[in-house]
Amino acid sequence: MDRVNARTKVRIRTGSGLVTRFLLIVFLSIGIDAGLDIYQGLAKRNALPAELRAEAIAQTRAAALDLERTFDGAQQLLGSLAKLPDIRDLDVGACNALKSIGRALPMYDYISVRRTDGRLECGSLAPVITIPADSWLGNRVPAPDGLAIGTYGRGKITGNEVIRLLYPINASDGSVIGSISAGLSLIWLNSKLEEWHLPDGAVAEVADLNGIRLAGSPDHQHIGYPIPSALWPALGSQNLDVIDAPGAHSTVRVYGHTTVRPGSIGGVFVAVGLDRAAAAAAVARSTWHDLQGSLIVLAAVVFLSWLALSRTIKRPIQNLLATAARWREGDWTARPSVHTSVAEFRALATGFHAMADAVAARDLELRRSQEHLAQAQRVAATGSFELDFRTNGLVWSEETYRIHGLDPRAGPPTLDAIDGLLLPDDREAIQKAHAEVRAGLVDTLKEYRIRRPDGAIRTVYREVEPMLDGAGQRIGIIGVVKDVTELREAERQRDDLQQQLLHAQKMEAIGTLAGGIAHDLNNALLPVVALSTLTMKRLAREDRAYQNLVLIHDAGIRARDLVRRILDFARKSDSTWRRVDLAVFVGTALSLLRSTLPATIAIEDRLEPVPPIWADETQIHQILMNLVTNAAHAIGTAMGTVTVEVAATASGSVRLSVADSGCGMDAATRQRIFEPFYTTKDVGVGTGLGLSVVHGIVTAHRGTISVESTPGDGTRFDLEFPIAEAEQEESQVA
Amino acid sequence: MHDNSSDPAASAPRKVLVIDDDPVARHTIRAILEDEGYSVTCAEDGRLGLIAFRRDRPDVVVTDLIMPEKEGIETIMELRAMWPDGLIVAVSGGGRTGNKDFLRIAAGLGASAVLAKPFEPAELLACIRDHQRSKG
Repeated sequence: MDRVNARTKVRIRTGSGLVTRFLLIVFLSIGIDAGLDIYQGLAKRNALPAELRAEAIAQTRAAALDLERTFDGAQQLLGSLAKLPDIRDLDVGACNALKSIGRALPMYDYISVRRTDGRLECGSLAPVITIPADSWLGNRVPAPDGLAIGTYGRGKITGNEVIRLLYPINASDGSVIGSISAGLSLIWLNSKLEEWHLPDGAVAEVADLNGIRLAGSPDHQHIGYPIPSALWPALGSQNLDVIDAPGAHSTVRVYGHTTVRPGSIGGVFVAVGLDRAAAAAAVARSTWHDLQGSLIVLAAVVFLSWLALSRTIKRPIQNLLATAARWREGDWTARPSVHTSVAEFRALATGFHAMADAVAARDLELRRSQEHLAQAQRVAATGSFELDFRTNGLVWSEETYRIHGLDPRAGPPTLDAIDGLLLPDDREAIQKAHAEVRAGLVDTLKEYRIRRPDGAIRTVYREVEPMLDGAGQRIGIIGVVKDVTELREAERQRDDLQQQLLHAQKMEAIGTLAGGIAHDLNNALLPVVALSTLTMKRLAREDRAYQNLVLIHDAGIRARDLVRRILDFARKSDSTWRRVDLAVFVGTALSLLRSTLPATIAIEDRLEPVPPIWADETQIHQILMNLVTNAAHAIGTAMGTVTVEVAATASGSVRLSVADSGCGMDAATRQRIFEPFYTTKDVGVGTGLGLSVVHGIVTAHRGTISVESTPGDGTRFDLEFPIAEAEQEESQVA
Repeated sequence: MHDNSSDPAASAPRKVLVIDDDPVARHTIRAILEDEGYSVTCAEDGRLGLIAFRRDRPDVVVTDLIMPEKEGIETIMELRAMWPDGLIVAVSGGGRTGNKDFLRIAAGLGASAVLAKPFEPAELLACIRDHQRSKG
């Protein structure tokens, strides 16, 4: 598991990752927003002059309105005072009223009542002194009603800077009898300007109609001095208008200006100047501000997106990849987690589950199928293989490895390694067969023999078919192999048994035939033997006819003996164990065998009296026939002698020896002669009763067999049989 | 059957019944026995042999074993049943055929003596003489 986990840490390449791409989209969209901000900023900048003028007018209008309200308030106050009876009557009591009003309204530096001649009657300020008539007042007799706005001045008592206001006092007949004058405090007026909330960099100028500065913002200094000369042309203009004028610090301003209280006597000039450069900077600042906002939003969105995407995209994908990695390892039980908040990934993971289930099922089916095939091959002891001619690559099934005695874990062997296993003859045969298959011929090699690594020599049966590519070219062979060593051995043993059976049947047939022939022959021989004797008695020995009859009689006797011997052997086709006198038996058998050998081969017998052995005569006869026949074959067409001896040994057994003067055998042949199926003879020459059968018979008789041979000096077989025990009686084994 | 008294060599002329299907064998056996003074009657098979036996009451029966009509062994068994002490000589050409040793079987079933064909005249005569002597 640790190994698997280590390999499942899969890195997602950030260069082309989903998260990166998604972030790129976010980045782009916010970038477009920022671009829009910049574009809007530029557009604003282009529209600046017109906007600036409109703004100046708007600001000026607002300022004028405020000033108008101030002067309206003054008119109402002074108008009300003028109608007070005490003041209308120019009574002394009026002064008390003025004093209390003056204290309550600090915006007025003073309020006083005068006669038309300018003489001060009383005022808000104590002590009441007589002050000569103001020159400004002297020149301006107030109209019967309405406020007159004067010019810059200073209070006579306080010395404070004021703008002078004048309201007429009418007598009951409507004639002007005096006036109420008031000084509106310029300090108050300046503070009033602070409430105007002018744009950054904007300046306000308030002046009397002479152009003397009454108030300003933000500059509160220079009160009582002329306003900037650039504004002079605008003085006296009643309308709301705009003028460009250079301001302080070599800036250019756009001034809106007008005259407040047009239509009444006097008035005040007001102008509001906007700084063009400052306004442009403000626009730029506003644009940058917007841009900054966008960038902050961008950074925040990117970061949050990255955070969110890492959790919602990267993790599920890594989970899927980790699962896929385990699948690569062959672990089809691995499943990706479906615990993700993203519906698409949940669907994907569910899809992966279904896919893994299907693949696992198929994988299981495949493995079962493979196991089935391997098991079937085990049961059949049949392996399969493929050989690719183009690469000489081999594919072997497990059973094929077992048949060749190799370890499947070592991997497929090379062709050279196979050549090393093959016996030399078959190595060439298999190469020839492969060449034939490549050339489009039919594969003729059916069996080959190998020496397995454990040394065992095995016979392998094979059946192949050519493998074709798409174009029908033979690119290799596919085939099956089967170890048929035991089968072939069993077949050979069966063939051998069949031949033995055939031999036994032959012997039985001969016996039956011989019995039938013998009966008739014996009957025919009766007169030959008996009548010749009877007739001889009636003839003289010298008689020629007598001599002839002797020959006839002897011939009859020889024929009789021959028939008896034939019968003796014919009846021995049964397995009958009995006490056998080997010397007598061999003597009789040899007399028959002689006639089967060519005239060039002589049989010499040395038969000594021996005790009986316990034997089956049929089998002993087989042994003798086989050994004598082999001896004759060893001599071949040359002149030679087969010597057969029977003698008692010193160890208390009976020895049968068959020696020939033939070609002899080398040591290698001598070692193998008792192996089944070993033969030095050509096909069809063998008797079908191999020396192995001789060996088997001798063993069944509890005897031993040995061989001595020298090439060129002939061969001698010595067989020794134990003597029959006293209690062994004849019995038919059948 | 005919002139058994004419044989001067026979100290005790005897009647012999020969049963054999082979005419040459019948002729030969008759020649051997008549040469020695025996009176010989012949039959071609076992059935005729038994008829001749009842009619002629021979002293000796020489019978073949393998014959048509009635087998020699069967004949011997019937003869022995009615003639317990009689002298029966079994002769056969198929003396030992296959598993069947007919002569040994015949001896076991009542033949007084057995003789394999072909035999010397002396062998047959000795056979008859030996048995006559042993009987009395």
